[in-house]
Amino acid sequence: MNEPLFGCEVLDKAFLEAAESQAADLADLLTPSDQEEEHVFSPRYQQEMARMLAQQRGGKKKHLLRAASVLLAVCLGLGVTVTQVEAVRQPLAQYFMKMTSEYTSITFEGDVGAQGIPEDTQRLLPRELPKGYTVSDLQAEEWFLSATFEGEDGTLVHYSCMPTGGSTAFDTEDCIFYETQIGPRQAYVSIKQTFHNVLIIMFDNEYTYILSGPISEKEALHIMETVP
Amino acid sequence: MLQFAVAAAQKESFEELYTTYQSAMYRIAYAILRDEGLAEDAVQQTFLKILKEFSRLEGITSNKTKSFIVILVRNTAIDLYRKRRRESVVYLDDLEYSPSSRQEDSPEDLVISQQSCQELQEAFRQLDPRYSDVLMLRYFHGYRNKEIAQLLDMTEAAVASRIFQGKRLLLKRLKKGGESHE
Repeated sequence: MNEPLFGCEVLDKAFLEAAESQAADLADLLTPSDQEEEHVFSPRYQQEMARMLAQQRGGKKKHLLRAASVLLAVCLGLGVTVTQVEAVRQPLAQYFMKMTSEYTSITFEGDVGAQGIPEDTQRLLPRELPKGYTVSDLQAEEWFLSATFEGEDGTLVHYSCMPTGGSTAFDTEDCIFYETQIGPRQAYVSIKQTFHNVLIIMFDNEYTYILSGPISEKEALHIMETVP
Repeated sequence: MLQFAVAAAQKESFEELYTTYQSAMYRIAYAILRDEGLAEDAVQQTFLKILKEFSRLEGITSNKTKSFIVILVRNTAIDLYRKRRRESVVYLDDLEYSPSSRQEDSPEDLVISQQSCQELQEAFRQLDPRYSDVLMLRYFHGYRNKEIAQLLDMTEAAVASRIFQGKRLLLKRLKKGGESHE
C-alpha cells in the first residue's frame, strides 16, 4: 500500500486514479511507432550493453551458485556436526552460556571498510556478533554478501544475503521450526534438535538474509536483529 | 525433509526488458537531446538504474513498469541535456522548500466533490513533469525521497521541494476550480 499524498481518502483515491491514468499515458510512449525508422545502435553502445547484460547474467549465476554453496555448507555442517556432536556439545554449550549477554560490534571504519566493501553492501551486514567472534571471511558484491564469523574456539557461523526473489531450502526434520518477526522483517527459525544448529532465514522485499551455525537461538536472533 | 520458501518470483528477465524497450527509450531520449550519441548514453545510463531496481519491478509489460522506465529515461536525458549545455540549472522552486514558513493549502480547505476529483485528475495530467514524475515515483511507485534522488540524480532536498510544490500546485488548481464552480 502506497503512502497517501493528501491524507484525505477521497482525494487520495482520485490521485491514485490520476496516477494510474498517467502511468498508462507514459506507457504508451514505449509503444513502437510504425512510421519511424528503427534506430541502429552504435557498436560502442552495443558493446557496453552486451557487457552489462553479461555482468547481469554472471551475477545471477553467481548468486545461484553461492546460494547453493551456502545450502551445501549448511547441509555439510549439519552432517559433520552430527558425527562430532558428543565430543563438542558440552564445551560449546558452556561457552555460549557465558557469552550470551555480551556482543562485539562490527564497524566499517577499520579493516573491513578499507577492503573496499561498497557502502550499499555494508548495510547488509549485522552490526553485532557474539563476543569473541570476528569476521573471518567476507565476500561482497553490489547485491550479494557472504560472510563467515569465527569464534575464538574456531566455531564458524555462516551468513549470507542476496536479493529476494529466489528460493531457499531449509531443514525441518527433527527441528523446532517457527515463523517470527525480526524488527520489520519476516523470518523462519529452524533449530535442529539432534545436535544444536540454528538456521534463520529472514527476508524483506529487497533482500533475504541467512544465518546458520551452532550458536544459541538467542544469539542468532540477536545477530539478525542488528542487521540495519 | 527440505522445504522451499519462495519469497517472490522474478517474472521476466532484464534482458527481455532491454530488447523490448531499448528502441522506444532511445526515441524518448533523442526527442529531448537531438543527439544520437547522447541519446544512447541516456538509454544506457537508464538501463543501469533499472538494473538496480529490477527486483522491485512488476512484470515488464505492466503500465507501472513502463511508466517507471519512461520517467527514468526522460529525466536521465534531461540531466544529460543540462550537462551538455554546461548549465548548472537550479530551478528556483527547488530552493523554495520551506514548509514551516509557508502557508500550505490543505485538503481540508476544499469542499470535496466528484467535480474536484475529476479536476484533480485533470490538474495532475497538466502538471509539469518535473513535479508529476517525483509525485508518481513517491506515491504511485512507492520510492522514498532518498531513492528518488538517486534515480533522478537530484538532491534529496530538491525531491522534497518538488513533492511539496507539486502537491501545492495540485491543491491550488483544485481550489481555483472549486471557486469557479461556485
